[in-house]
Formats: sequence, C-alpha cells, structure tokens
Amino acid sequence: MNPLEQFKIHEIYSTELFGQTIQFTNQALSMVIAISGIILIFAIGSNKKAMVPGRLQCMVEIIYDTIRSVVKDSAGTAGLKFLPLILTIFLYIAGLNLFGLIPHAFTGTSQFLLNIVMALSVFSLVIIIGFFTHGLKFFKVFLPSGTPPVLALFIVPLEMISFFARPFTLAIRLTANMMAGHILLKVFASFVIMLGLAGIFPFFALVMISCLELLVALLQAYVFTVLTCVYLNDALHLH
Amino acid sequence: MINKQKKDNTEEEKIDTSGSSFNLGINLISSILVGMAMGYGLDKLFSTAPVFMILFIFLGFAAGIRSIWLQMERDEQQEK
Repeated sequence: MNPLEQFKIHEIYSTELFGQTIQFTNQALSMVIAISGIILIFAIGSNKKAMVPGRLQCMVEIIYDTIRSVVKDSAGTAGLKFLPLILTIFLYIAGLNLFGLIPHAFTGTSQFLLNIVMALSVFSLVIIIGFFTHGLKFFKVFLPSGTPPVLALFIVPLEMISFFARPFTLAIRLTANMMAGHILLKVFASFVIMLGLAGIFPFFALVMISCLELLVALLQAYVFTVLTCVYLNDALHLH
Repeated sequence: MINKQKKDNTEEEKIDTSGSSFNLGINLISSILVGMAMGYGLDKLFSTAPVFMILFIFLGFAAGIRSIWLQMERDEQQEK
C-alpha cells in the first residue's frame, strides 16, 4: 500500500467546452461537498433567528464571533471590512480539512496548487489595499522605521525576500501539515492490517492520531486566517 | 481554539497564535527558495551566472532567520 496514493487526482467526469477539456476531478468533488456542507449548516443555522439559539445556531454564531474577534484584534476596526472574505477563507479551509478526515475522502487542501492560489490571492489583495490606502508610501513596508541608513542597504533586500516569501510560507505550511497527518494515518492503518491480532495497539494509536488530526485541521484553518489578518494589518497600518 | 468562547467579555482577550509557532521552520525554507528565485531572475536579467543566486540564497537565509525572530517576538508579546 502506497501511503501517497491518497493524494492522487483522477478525473471523474470530463466534457468539451469551446475546444477545451474541462475535467471534474475528485478534488473538485471534495470542494463541492465541503462548500455545500458549509452552506447547508449556515443556512439552517441562521434560518430561525431564534432569541434563544438552538445547537446549530449557537455553533454558527460562535464561529462568526470567533472570527470577528480575531479580525478585530489583529487587523483593527478597519479590518472589519474584510470580515466576509476572511470568514469565507476560514470556513473553506476548515471545511476541506474536516471533509478530508472522513475515510476514503479526498483532502482538497493537501494539494499545493490550491493553497498557493489562495495564498497568492490574499497576498495580491494585501498589495492592492496597501497601494490603495497609502499610495507610494507603501514601499516603506520594506524599511522598518528607525533603521540606520548604513543598515538600510542590507535590510531592504531582507525585508523584500521575507515579504515575498509570505504566500509561500502560508501555502507550504497548510500543505505540509495536511499531507503529513494523512500519511501518518495511512501508515498506521497499514500497521493495523499487517500485525493481525496485535494490530489492536496501532489501532488505539490511530484513534489518538485521528483526534490530533481533528485539532490540526481546525488549527491550520485558524492559523491561515490569523496570518491573513496580520498581513492585512500590515497593509492597513504602516509601521 | 474555536471553543475559547468562555471569555468574560473584557476587551483584552488575546489571540492564540501559538499555532503559528508550531512550524516556524517553514519560514526558513520558503525564504531561501524565494531568495534563490529572485537571484536566479536577476542572473537571467544581467547574465552574470551564479553571482546573484549565491548572494540571494544567503540573503534568503538571513531573511528566514529574521522572520522567525520577528514571529517569536510577536507571539511573546501576545502572551503578555
């Protein structure tokens, strides 16, 4: 059993459109299921608008409140304009991660391409907002205040590299975490089969790792969200 | 993370970014890679084969260490 086989993308349905082949892959299927799950939960949860919330409504409200306080704390009140975007990012990543934990389901966020596209769109948004609110002064982001002029020659390339490394850091972190966890799960699962009766021990380990993966799935979505807010904060308020 | 709703409505609730310090090492990798890519681009531009690439790999290393340092500082501030 190859533990990497679970990340293989294969086509489910393909069609021709304007001379281009459009493929519907298992990754697209996982996205569709995750997104429709989120929409369903939020539609049902916010449907009643009860004064005393039920379980589902409570969950929806807690998620909204948590992300709102994250945005407010790390990007300030000016960042609240971007709350819909950031909430969408959080729910999307969390939904894909959690859907991937179902056995035999495909983990959408284990694909580097998906994550880098998300990270690069956040990054370009940050750059656009930076230039929109500060104009050419936004270039100051490459020069921390209070740098001696001698050091500036050295600091500016450093800052540039770490600025442009941000989207890659975001994407690699998410991909690496999801891939590592799922490979670990697969390896332990094959231990269970190989060891026969003694496989009960790796089975318990598997249960524990599954709990850990549940934490990692939510934590990585949260980290992506927090770092998006931090970068937005850098663009909104120059230091 | 999600269920830290048991706050007592004070304004000074802290964000838990400890999750971001789980794998600081990734900062280093991506900084070096981006530095290398920038150096490669500059080399292509001026056709000065490996000069800029070597220089920018070292700069990328320095930038990675620096961003790890900054992130740790930020996390420490939030813990206070």
